[in-house]
Amino acid sequence: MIDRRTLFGTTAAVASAFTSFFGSRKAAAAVTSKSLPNDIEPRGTYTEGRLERLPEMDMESRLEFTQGFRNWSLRNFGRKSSSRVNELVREAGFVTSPSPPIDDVLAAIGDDLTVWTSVRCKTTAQQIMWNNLVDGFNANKDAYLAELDAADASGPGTLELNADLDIPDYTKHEIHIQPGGYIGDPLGGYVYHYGVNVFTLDLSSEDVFHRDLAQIIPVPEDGKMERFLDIGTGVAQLPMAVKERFPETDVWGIDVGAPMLRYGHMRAAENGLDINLSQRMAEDTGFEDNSFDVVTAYILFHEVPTEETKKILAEVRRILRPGGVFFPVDFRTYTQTRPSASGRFNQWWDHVHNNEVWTEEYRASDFIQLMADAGLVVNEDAPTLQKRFWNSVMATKPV
Amino acid sequence: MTEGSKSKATHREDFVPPQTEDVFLDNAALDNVMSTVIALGSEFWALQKRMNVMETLLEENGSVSKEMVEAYRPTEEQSAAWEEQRDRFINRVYGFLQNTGTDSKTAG
Repeated sequence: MIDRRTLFGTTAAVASAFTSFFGSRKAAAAVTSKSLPNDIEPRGTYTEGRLERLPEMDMESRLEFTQGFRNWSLRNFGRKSSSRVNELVREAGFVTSPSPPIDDVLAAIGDDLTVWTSVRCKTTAQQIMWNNLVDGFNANKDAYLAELDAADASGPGTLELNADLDIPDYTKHEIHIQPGGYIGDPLGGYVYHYGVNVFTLDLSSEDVFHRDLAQIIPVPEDGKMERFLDIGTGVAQLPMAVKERFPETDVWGIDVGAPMLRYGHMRAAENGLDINLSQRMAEDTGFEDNSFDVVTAYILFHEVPTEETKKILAEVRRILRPGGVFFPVDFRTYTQTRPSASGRFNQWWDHVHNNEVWTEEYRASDFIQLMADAGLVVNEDAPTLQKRFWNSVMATKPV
Repeated sequence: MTEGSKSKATHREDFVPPQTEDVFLDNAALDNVMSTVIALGSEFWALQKRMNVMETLLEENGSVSKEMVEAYRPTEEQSAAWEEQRDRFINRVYGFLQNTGTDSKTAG
């Protein structure tokens, strides 16, 4: 984002430091003449300038409330609700870990007020988060679209859009109940980026998670790391972090959603990161055989039906060069971990009411086996980034 | 959408909204009232935060303008204190929602 506000008083020195650090962003900003009200960065706890200040203070404050309310919904009321779920499941005669089938969990819960009031809170937190972001960004819609238009042709880095791309139905859902999903809102990249920070309880602010992940991406055994691809790259947080770790590598990111890629490209350019983003399908990337040293997929596969996952894995094998590394990060499947009854109930909510349409199918699959079936060699001893909800796995293409 | 903007061609209208109704309580009206009450909390917090900034600016400068409020950047200490204030507000006001008859009646 561009055209920062003038800072006042004691904040000026801090602003000056950031202006110097992000000099390249200033240069990128000069390509546009549009003006956003109150657009400034960084703000509040966003101390590194990777996530810019929202255009209006009230919008930012509402998001802060939503963050706090979501924390409370999950960590305070949520814990009480989870205990209640397990208690009800036990009373119904089941063990709670591993969980009985979800239909049995739901029957045990019945119309329990604690559980459903908690679910109401969690769901509403998600809804008011999107409402605030969609309303706030759209209040300045023309300015943001002009900003994206100007950034499309700016560099460093490149952006390829394909208006004729045949987009399959499975990608068209409003995942996380984000209005318009990843393809339907021209400002979807902005909305997603700020929303997902709240949803992940601030894990991905300033790209912290992506930067941590980039640090452990395995380099092929021969040390060659000339070309890198992230599939389902979204707003390109991971390619940005990878470019920082491997400045000499030719870094690519592809995604089905043009609004996501446009925002990602603008952000990468403003941060002076020379990455290439392209609107392509992961099942049919169009890249040459054996053309990448490393391919990653950051929380992509739980958004994909299993049949499409098989096609994507075959495509990954095709475009990886022999000895190349595949390093996906995603939720654990049921073959990797079995949730408790309350955990299973939360997953059900995520699927049904947070519109994670393909998550149940993903969790029920044996993703490790699918990689092996695609001809990739899984190395379960490789470095992995373990988080509460997801983990990474390493596989290689045989030499 | 700006007429003639390249943005016009970069998004699609055929996205698929959620197919599930999110009614969890006795009736949709009760769900809606709860959502409205929660949403009002976010509007209240926006006003509270604005008040905090105005009070700080008045203490520091003796005057305040809309531009000064919008541009204000809290210190780390202020951010931490206001976050705690927010969390106490949420616990104090919404803690009642936990009183569902299955245990103690104390808010929070």
